[in-house]
Amino acid sequence: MKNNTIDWVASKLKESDNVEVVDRTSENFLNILFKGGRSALVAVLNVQGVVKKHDVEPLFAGDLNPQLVVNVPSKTLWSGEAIRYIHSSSAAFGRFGDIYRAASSVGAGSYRDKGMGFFITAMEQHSNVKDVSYVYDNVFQVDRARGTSLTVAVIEAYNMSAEDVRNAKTQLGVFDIIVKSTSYGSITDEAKIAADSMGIEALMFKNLMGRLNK
Amino acid sequence: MIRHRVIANLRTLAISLGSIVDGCEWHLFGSVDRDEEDAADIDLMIFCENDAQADALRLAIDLDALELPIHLSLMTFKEAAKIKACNMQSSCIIFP
Repeated sequence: MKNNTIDWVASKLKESDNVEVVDRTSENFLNILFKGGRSALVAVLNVQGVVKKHDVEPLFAGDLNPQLVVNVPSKTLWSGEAIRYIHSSSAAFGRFGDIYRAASSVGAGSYRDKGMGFFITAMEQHSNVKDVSYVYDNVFQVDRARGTSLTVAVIEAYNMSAEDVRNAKTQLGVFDIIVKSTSYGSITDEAKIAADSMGIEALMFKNLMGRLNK
Repeated sequence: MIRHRVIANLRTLAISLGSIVDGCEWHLFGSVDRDEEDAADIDLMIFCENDAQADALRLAIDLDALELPIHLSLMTFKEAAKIKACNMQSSCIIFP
């Protein structure tokens, strides 16, 4: 991790009234105090492209482990392998903004993105789903009892536009289905056309649940 | 008062992008627009004249440029009108 990235995060946090950077450990973790009294050790990564397991393993090699690992820039993806490693180490992962969101968790290590958590639980509880695993932080492989496995990309969009579809394809590569993370809002006609032209299905959450049966 | 600060910074960002923003419309909505003190990101929706402008803005805008990460949504004016995006999000035009 680069010192200037950690400095950047620390300086951004200083602009907030809701968190305070108390100090920095010898491991270069930020010791953060949230408004309300909870605290967290936050590790900051500066990985471009995709955060992989080998990027996060060194953070957990010492006596002191972080509870939350964030990466800057925000557009970087997290590999499923890195996510599984962090979760198995009783920690959480995210982007810079997740530091603020983690403030409401009982322990920062138990923080999980609510939107993605909702999707994972819903897919796991589906009667035709055997297993759900992370490909990236917002892409999941869904293994089904009947039918082939499906790769589902979840995008954080209130309304899914054609640009959302094109951007997801550019960033995420191959997937079968793109679905909105919120149940309200809509998918534009242009988004459906763009998805169709790429051989992708653009679905709302309720349609995804039906699609997992087919 | 995060809202005023963010709007000023978003306008500065838009201007800094030059001619790429010609004809587009920037909308703020969500927790920052409501001036909520625990906002975790900046919900920004940009209506574009065409697909090429939307794709160019996606490449040009640094999501970590401001004090909170930008949650960016790009769509054409045509798409926005059909789904009534302004009304749905109760958005506020901040640029131009």
